Amino acid sequence: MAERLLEVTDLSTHFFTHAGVVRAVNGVSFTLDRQETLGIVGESGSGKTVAALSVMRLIPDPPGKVVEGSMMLRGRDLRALSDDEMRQVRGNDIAMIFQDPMTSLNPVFKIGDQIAEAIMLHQDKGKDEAWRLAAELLERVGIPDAKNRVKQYPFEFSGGMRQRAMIAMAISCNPDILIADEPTTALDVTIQAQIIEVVQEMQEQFHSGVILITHDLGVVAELADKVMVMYGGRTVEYGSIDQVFYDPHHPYTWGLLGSLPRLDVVEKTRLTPIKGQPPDLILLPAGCPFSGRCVYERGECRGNWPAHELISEGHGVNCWIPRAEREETRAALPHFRSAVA
Amino acid sequence: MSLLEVRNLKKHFPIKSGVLKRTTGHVYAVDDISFHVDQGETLGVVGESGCGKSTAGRSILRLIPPTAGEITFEGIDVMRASRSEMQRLRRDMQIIFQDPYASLNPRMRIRHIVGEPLRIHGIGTEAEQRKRVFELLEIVGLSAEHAERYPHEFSGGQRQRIGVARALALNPKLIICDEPVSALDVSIRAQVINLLEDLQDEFDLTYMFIAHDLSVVKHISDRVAVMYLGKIVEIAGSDVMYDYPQHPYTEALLSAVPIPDPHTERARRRIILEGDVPSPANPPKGCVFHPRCPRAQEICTTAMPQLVTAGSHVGGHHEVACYFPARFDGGSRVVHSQPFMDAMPRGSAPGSAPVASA
Amino acid sequence: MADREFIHESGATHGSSNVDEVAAVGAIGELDVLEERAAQTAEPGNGGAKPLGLWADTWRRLKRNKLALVGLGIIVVFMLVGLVQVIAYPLTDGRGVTPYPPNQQNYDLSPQGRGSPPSASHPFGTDYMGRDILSRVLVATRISLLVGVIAVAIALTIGLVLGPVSGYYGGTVDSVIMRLADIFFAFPYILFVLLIMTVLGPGFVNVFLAIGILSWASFARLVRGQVLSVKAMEYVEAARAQGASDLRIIFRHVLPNSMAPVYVAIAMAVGGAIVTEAALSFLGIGIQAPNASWGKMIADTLTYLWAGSWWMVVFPSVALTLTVFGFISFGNGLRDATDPKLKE
Repeated sequence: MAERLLEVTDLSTHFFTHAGVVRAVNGVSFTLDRQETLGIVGESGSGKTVAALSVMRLIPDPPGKVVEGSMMLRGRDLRALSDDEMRQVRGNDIAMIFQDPMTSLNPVFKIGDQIAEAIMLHQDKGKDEAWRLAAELLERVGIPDAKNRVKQYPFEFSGGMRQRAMIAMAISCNPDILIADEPTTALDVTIQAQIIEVVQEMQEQFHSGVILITHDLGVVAELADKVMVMYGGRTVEYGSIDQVFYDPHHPYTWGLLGSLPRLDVVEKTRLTPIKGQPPDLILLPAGCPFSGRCVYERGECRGNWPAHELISEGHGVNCWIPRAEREETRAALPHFRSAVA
Repeated sequence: MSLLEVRNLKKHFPIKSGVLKRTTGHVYAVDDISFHVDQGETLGVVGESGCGKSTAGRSILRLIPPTAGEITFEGIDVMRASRSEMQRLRRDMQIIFQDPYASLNPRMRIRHIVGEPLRIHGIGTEAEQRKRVFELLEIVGLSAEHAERYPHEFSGGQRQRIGVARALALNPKLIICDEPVSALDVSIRAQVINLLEDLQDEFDLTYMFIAHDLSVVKHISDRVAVMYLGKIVEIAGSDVMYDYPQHPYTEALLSAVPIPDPHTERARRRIILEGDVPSPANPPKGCVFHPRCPRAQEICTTAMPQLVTAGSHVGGHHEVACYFPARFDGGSRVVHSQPFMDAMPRGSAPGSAPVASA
Repeated sequence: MADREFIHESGATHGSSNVDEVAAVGAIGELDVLEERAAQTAEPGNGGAKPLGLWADTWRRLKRNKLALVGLGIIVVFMLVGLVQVIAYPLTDGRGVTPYPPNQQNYDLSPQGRGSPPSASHPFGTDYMGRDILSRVLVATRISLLVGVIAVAIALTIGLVLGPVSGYYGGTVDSVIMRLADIFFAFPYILFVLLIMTVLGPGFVNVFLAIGILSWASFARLVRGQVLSVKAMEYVEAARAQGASDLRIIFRHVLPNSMAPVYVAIAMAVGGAIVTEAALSFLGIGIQAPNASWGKMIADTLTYLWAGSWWMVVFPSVALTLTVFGFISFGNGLRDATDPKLKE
């Protein structure tokens, strides 16, 4: 029975701006166990990044605020920690890697400096030893000639290598949880494959839990054990990889899966796009944020957020369409005739 | 005759350094590529960053002046076209850009943006132009009331549609699509892809579809060209390419693309390439791919292999630039240990390097 | 047209839409993007959030800067008074809209030849010739307004042509124009103006010309900086792909999008022009009698300061200082309000 690392319940994060209240995250809940990978899937405006930043307490206040919810890290209430205590947690217990390695690494410091800094901050190690560990870490993440490269500056690294360096920094203090926010989006696909491999290896070695935030369902299918689908700040569906990909219950999930062109499809079928535009986070409806774009929308959708429905163990959805009708509708969708095994 | 014929296209950017700005080297962005696009078809061009695909697209339109090569559009020599000939050509060849936020002038109203091509070429009276703009907006799924607005009032997907409307204004025959959906949300991509497909049917358009996302390229293209470091390494029909890839880079590329299907993903054999993509300012000698190639041999360091047909293949034109291409005789995949000498460039001495200076 | 930089090819991001491209470090960045997203309308007529115009945001930020608002107020007052005087001057045969004719001498009001202090009938007092100082200050506003507007207009006309041309074409054209600008920068400003005035001769129009001709360089350089980044934008490429002429591209696409720092520079330049005119007139080579400008008024009456007639110097000085301060602080506020990176 794996150890429960993170338990987030009913998280809501809002931004109070001059243009109005941006309800970036509303009532989101998820858990993460040791050696588990949770994929948080969503597009722009889904709130996935804000959710992760909320867990790290990196939301700028003002104008942002975690207005509701609890975040428990191995039993510790993250919201109750002081700023100093939280700083201890960051990097040490939870580490984060970001999308664009070019702007997340400080260009005026050597790579070794940046990794060593994290080490010295969280562990009682001297500078020499921290540097030695930094070189070791670079080697661990697959950077050739690590002993010399550790003395280089970020601009001397390519995109893929910078991302590896970021991963090295993140795992330097052996964190329980690694949050990766779109770690491969800015990378070439062959480099992406390398990075995915590195993340997997690191997870094996350190037994950490990984939260993978992405819009790329392919990467999720490859890396994640379970998935949470977000739209307009809410979780619309969650479940194991197999459950969500092969037994999806939410129209948005259907839409996502149906709108993707696939490499392995034999006949040329027309894509089924989701109509409409990404949501306006200030003018979210009180009910389901997807209602404006949902082909199956009905009366109560816009006004009331549907109650949580448990489909099977670990698989939940929030949707007003009755289950039987959902399954029937789904069976008629073109891209599910082959996928639903 | 093809609509577009490209022969030996090269674009080398000089690298200038020092106080006197002397040319110390070149970036071989596009290095001797040849291909054709037939009327009504979609040629997909895939490759990773630095492969030269965007530069190639822009060179065809002479947005970037090519260093060398021949470009023939409907039989007309694009490279040597006079200014007035080029103006005429511009009506037939258009482009859609990647970044929906940078491809529209933020200070111009939509109707001016979409109508500008008409004004530049003096087509129609003002009233006729306005009518045409409304027509174009409807065609791309927007409405006439959008015409008075500014770009910042629209979402990314809508801005791309505006870009498409602008490209259609002059009734072009060929449209270069430079990563048109890469910057869009996943759920919006399908909208724009479908729109492009519909427009192709309705207006008998020809596309050169440049992208790095293989899944999208496979979906929309009839034929696909794979580029690496300024060269085309393989070119074949869309389905054939994906089922029977001959070039090791194509194989690696295909295996690297994540497929949104967990069972398939777990069952796949992955080819992970070592190292990074080399800089196009310093391409490897011989075959540009050989440093990362899992089946490179000594011959690969001598000269860049030519793009030729290799072995029997499943229907259609299939060319590959490799000394050890995979072959699919009788359904099974095989790589010969003897090098494929047809790919050796004629009359070139071993060890010949790419063109050094323009 | 010079070769494009290769950076564009290798710098292409393979990311998703604008929001997702923001690194979470400095979540402020993400917040800005969230705000921008929230401000866009999704569909027309869906009661979406009001789209923020291009200036609305700047105005909102400007409103918070009290000093800038004061500056703006001063500018408005100055403009109104000046405009009234400019229009009225020829119509009233050189009097303008003033309580007394500004050149009317009345030695009764200057008992010891050193004017009379401020009083009920002459709020600013009178000068050594018995002329009402308030009237003179008012009428001199005309000169300052004309200098500010005309000199800066001349500088803008030159600078907003040479700057974009220089930036867009690059290469030799750019080098030549920029070296020319350097020359104008290198010379000490006042000295250069003096030189030109000596050549052109003193006088009304020549002052404007001199100041205008010398100020083009800073506008040109500012615009050129923006032009360098704007010309690489895809909408410029799009215009070229449509067959737009260079002229059209430069003046319809590039220049309008390169103006951001120029507006601030204009505010500062107007202030600068007014001061320069004052200095010239003070030195005697600017405005000549019988025209009155603040600088000239100060020059003519400075000696009377020792005699105790402070009002003759102080009032024109205050008018001058206040006006220039108005332009400068508004310019500063405008710069802060248009700086995207400045935290609110």
